[in-house]
Amino acid sequence: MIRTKNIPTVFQAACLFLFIGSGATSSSEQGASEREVKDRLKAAYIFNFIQFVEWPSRAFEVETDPIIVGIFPGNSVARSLKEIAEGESIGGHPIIVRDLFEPEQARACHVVVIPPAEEARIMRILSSLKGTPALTVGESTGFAERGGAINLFFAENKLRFAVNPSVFETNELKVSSRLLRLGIIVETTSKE
Amino acid sequence: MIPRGRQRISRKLIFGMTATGVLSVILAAGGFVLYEINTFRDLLVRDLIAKAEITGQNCSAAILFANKDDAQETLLVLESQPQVTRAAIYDGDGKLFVSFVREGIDGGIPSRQGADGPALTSDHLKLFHPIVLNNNRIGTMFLETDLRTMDERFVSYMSIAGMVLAGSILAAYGFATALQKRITGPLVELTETARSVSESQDFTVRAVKYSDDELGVLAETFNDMLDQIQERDKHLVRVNEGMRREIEERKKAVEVIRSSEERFRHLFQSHPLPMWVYEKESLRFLEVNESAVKVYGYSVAEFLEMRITEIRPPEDIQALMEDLEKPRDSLQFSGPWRHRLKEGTLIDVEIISHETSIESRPAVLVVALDVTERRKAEHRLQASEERYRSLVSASSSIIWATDSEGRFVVPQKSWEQYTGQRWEEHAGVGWNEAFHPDDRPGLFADWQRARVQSANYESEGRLWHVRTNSYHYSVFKAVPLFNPDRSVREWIGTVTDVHAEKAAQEEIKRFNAELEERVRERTAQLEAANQELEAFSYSVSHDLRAPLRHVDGFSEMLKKRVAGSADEKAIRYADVISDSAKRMGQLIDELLIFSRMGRAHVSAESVDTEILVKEVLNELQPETGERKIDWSIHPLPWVSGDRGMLRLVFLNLISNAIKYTGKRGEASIEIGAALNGKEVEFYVRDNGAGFDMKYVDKLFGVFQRLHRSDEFEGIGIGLANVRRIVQRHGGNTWAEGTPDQGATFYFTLPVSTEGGS
Repeated sequence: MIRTKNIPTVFQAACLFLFIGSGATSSSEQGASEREVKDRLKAAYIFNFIQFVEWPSRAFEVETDPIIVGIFPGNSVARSLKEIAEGESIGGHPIIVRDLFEPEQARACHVVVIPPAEEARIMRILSSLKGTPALTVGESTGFAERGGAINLFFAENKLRFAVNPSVFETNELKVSSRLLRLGIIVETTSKE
Repeated sequence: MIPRGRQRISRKLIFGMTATGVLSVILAAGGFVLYEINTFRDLLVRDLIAKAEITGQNCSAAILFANKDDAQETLLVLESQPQVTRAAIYDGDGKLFVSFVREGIDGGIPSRQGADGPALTSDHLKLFHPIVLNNNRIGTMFLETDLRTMDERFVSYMSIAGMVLAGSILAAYGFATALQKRITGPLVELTETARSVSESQDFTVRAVKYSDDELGVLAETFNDMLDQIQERDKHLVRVNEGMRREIEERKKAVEVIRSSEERFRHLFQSHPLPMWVYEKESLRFLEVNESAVKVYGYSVAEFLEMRITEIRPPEDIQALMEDLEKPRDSLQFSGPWRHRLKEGTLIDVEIISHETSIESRPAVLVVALDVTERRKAEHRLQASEERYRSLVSASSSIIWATDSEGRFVVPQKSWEQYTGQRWEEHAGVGWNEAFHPDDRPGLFADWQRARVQSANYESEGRLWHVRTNSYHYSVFKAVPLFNPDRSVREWIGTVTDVHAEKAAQEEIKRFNAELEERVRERTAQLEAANQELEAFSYSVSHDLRAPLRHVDGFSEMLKKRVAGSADEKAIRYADVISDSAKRMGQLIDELLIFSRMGRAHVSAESVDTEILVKEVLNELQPETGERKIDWSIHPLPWVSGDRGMLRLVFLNLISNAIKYTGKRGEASIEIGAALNGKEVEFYVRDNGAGFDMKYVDKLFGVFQRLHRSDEFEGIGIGLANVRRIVQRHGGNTWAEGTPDQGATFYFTLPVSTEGGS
């Protein structure tokens, strides 16, 4: 049976994106700031990424174990992501969104969202996650090149993303070619 | 197209074989083509679904990330599939996301997604297919292909089938032609031979045998047959003649049977009794005659639709079936049964039945005799007989019967039981011996008189009663029964023992006499006692008066003596003694009157009460004196009674009224009467002192006073007298009153039968 419950949420995000893409500036009329709209769009993207990534079986003890999405503080996406993803499940795994405070906490997560506010700790977080089956999503410039899995960014008022396939490989994550086709493929540049 | 009978066998054979071949090829090719087309269409649908699934999945990320360019690119891959004419992707809300239309194809893309699944039109196959990711529907894939390839394939199948058909017709025709020659050649010759035999009636011709197959056997058999026919022909001519004669005889016999059957049928049909024949197995009516139709009310057609059980009441059917089970003789009488007519009436019938057979099936002929009336008569007779029997046995009387001469000719059981005379004793005129010797002459005389006059006999006498061993008074009654010629055939009589009644009457007579004697004695005693009492009370009153006069006289003398002296106390004492003596005298007078009222004779004369009241008022004139009294005297009737006593009644009541209104400034006294049936109701009403109703019972008692005597003078015996007088006249007294409001005294008297109103 196909569940349709979360389709509006996902597509709401998509529609909002189109709305912004058409250059509308009257987002305040919607009662939401442009920032909120962007957050929701990002959250929808993160949720959709999860649908195209496959974790190795060791990432879950049993099949019904949750997919834990960890978000470092100072990230306004957290609220929208909770709204969209919580209560949903993908491939039999319920999704849990959790706040992270210490880089070490990220090792228990399947998805780790690193906001620009964590710029200073990015490298520490990424290196601690190296070899861990965790999908890292960041917004900082060159996040993917520095060893992040997916880098969200705005270009021409459109939300785009860059993917670093080698990170997926290192972290034993499988990424769908359908996703790769939509993103900009980058390579790790720094050698640390 | 279908060859008819006259065409030759050779043509029929060729056509049949060719047609068989062609038909099987058509069926095979048709089935094959249909199967292929069906399979191909299923294949096409499956193929389209697969394409939709693949393309949809490839677009899933593009849909989720709203990347139209990528989706469009994926969709364009379908251009390499020449059958695909249109394709589109709808997003999760059913809105068109991207689309593709092949060049040279007219028409656009449906702007909204349609229902899932394939839809086949005349030249297109359309499909809406869900795009599902992680169990969630994220969009819909639309694909359309034209059916050109299917049409092409169908045409090529049809042309192959056509060629195969043409070839098979040719082959079948050639083969059939070759084969028929081998079969029909000898057949044609055989046919020719048969025709020449039949045309010339020449049974000597024979057919030629060409082969050993069926045709050869046919020719041989044909020749054998001709031999036999030759034989038969001769025989037949002989037999025919015999047959003709036999038929003649049969005809005659049938004629005889027919006329006989007609006679019997007529007999059956017009038979006055209802008759029918039913089939033994099914119980259905097979034949029914006119009388049955008339009696039972069903038409012949209705009868023939029915079973014999249907003319029976349902409760009798069980018995009927049991009766039918019994083995029966050829002629059987049974019944009575009950049959039900069409209109519902039940009749009693007796049945005569006879086993027969109709068209070799066992059947039963039934004659039904309606015995309803006879049965009723029998029932009546039986009931009457029963009534008679129970009457005789229930009766305490003795019933007897004699011949015309008064002789007992058969033993009289009840007579024997009563008198104890045995048959030898009471036979003939032996019964005479059972009477009391003194009564015999009287009884005999009465009996002789009745016999001579042939009239009812009644007499009374004493008959020997064996159980009490005594003569009992009995009443004898008898009636003659007549022969048709009015001569007496026999006498039937009864003996009623009236001994107990007689004894009871005697007893009552004796009691009555005793009673009268006792009453006489008691009355005498009472009269004596009364006289004594009267004498006593008179003497008491009288004897009391003498000392009382002394007391009164001496007290008067004492008063004179002490008058004027200073001893006032003595004067007062003397006054009291004097007054008391006077009052006592008055009391004694009243008592004497009262006692006299109880005994005095009440005469019944007509009295005009109006005059009576006026007299009383005159008499009372001195008492009213100066008083102002408003009298209201209504018209009063005549009554029947004792004038003197009635005067006393009015005197008492009116003087009471005057007395008790004494303290009123304006006294009002009303006297009236009202007729109430045979009584007159009188009343005397005043507005005086009145009385409390709770003392109403004491009002009419002797010496009962409701008021103190110093308040109102009087001795309290007046109303007692009133009541006594009224009672002795057969009337009633009563009163109503309210303290200080007045009182009303009522009494009733019988109306006078003569005099005024």
